[in-house]
Amino acid sequence: MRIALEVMGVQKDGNAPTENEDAAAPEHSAVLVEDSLHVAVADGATESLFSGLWARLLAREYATGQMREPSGLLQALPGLQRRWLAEVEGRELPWYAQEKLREGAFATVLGVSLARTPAGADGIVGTWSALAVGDSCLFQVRDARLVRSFPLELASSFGSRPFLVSTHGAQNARVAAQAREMTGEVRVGDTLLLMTDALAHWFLGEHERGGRPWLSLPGEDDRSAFESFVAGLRAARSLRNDDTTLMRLSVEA
Amino acid sequence: MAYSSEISRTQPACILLLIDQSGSMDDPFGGQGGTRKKAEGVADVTNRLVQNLVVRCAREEGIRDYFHLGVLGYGEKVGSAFSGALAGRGLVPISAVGHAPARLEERTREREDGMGGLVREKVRFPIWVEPHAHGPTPMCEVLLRARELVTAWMREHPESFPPIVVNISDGEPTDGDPTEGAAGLRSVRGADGEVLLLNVHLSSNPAVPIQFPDAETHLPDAHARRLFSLSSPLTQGMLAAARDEGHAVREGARGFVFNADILSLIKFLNIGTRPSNLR
Repeated sequence: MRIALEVMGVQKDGNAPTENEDAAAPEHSAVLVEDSLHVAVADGATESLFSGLWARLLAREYATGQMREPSGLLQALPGLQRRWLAEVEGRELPWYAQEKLREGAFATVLGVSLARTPAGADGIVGTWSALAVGDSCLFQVRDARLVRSFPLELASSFGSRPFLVSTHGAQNARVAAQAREMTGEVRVGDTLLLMTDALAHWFLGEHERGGRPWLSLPGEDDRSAFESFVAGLRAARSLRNDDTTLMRLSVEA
Repeated sequence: MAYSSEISRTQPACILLLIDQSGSMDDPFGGQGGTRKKAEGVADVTNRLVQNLVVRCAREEGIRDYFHLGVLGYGEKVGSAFSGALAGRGLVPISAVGHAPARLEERTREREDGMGGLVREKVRFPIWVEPHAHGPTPMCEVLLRARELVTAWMREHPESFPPIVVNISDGEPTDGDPTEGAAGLRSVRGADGEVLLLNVHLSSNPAVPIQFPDAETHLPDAHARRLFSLSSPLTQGMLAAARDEGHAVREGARGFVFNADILSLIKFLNIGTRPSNLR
């Protein structure tokens, strides 16, 4: 299976690039020829401390292929939580950071796995499976139509308080219940789009208004194209000012 | 739509706390059976509010200035109630507040361990404001002072979320009827709406706590009814936050609490995604 993978991201306007709390794994675009492929985006919550680090840990863990369903996520969490704590606890922190660390860090995670299947007459070359906690979304586009939207299907479903995966076990009691799974098939020519919440919200809204927003999304060939695309939507108040990440998988053969 | 401005470092929000430091604050909180003085209750609520705001703005690199914060005391005198390095200051960037508590107390706190039990842990509790209880209750004067402060601030930040003024008092002004002063304060407006005035009534009346009422009929006394009448209606964001916290609030509910905590209304201020599993 030949997949063109494009990864684009830009931080919230007014923030430095180092303050971007979104994560993607893999982090760079590539053309991949594999029998299976695992990719993920994650979105660290602005209101928690070291949440960008937590988002990177979650996305990278998914991309290793070890946590493809909720049970895998539950198994992976204790180890990831320890790694996060080990990275942040060694630091000399002022009182407010110590207080905030007690709350833990929070992030969404959306992972998508592709697996090759024997080519069928109807052009099917593989299957996808997705795992999501929170409001980062996957969209599947085929023949100029949006055929799948996961885990949210309506622009109105986005709230300001999604359930997120935490570094603190006490906050994760409902993770298994909140995790969503979905599977589907891929054909040559399909496009899978992974987006963090602000862009996903715009995408669904545009689609509900009868648009074909996937046609507006720039390619990754230069970073500035994505930055100006996002800046334009923000200026028009069509896109919430937030860290924004887009991953596109184009199924080539 | 009003009250929808994004809160960011380039467009911070303003929170001004007004705290009653009059002689009546020497009375016990919640009636004669109460073991704590109201002045201690006020200082506690104030310090917890300030701590909560600082922690919300804390990031890896330090404290981001999402808020400007002031505390005005009213009692023997009307003026800044900060003690320590911030003494005498008006509205201060939240980073400066976070870096300069007057002192850090060691306290013990119970926390859920996630397995149905509680763990006790030692925490450092920052103190910016000390309990005071002397003199009259010049509420009209402090409302006027608050109006001056937020008017000047609004001029500098016309696009920002409108200032939120939280008045914490036992409700008995000694310098006249505060109705006009409160209306004047609430009339200060910027592009995103008018100043919000919230009132916390710490009463000697041991009546059960009341949060965000939409009518004054069930309020226990005249002071409570007056503070209710001075309070701004909750914004849509505040209504949603109050409901998220489990309060059964109706349209028309006011930013008023009787013998209760107002922290949940400050929590509603969105400075980015707030996880629903973070309490």
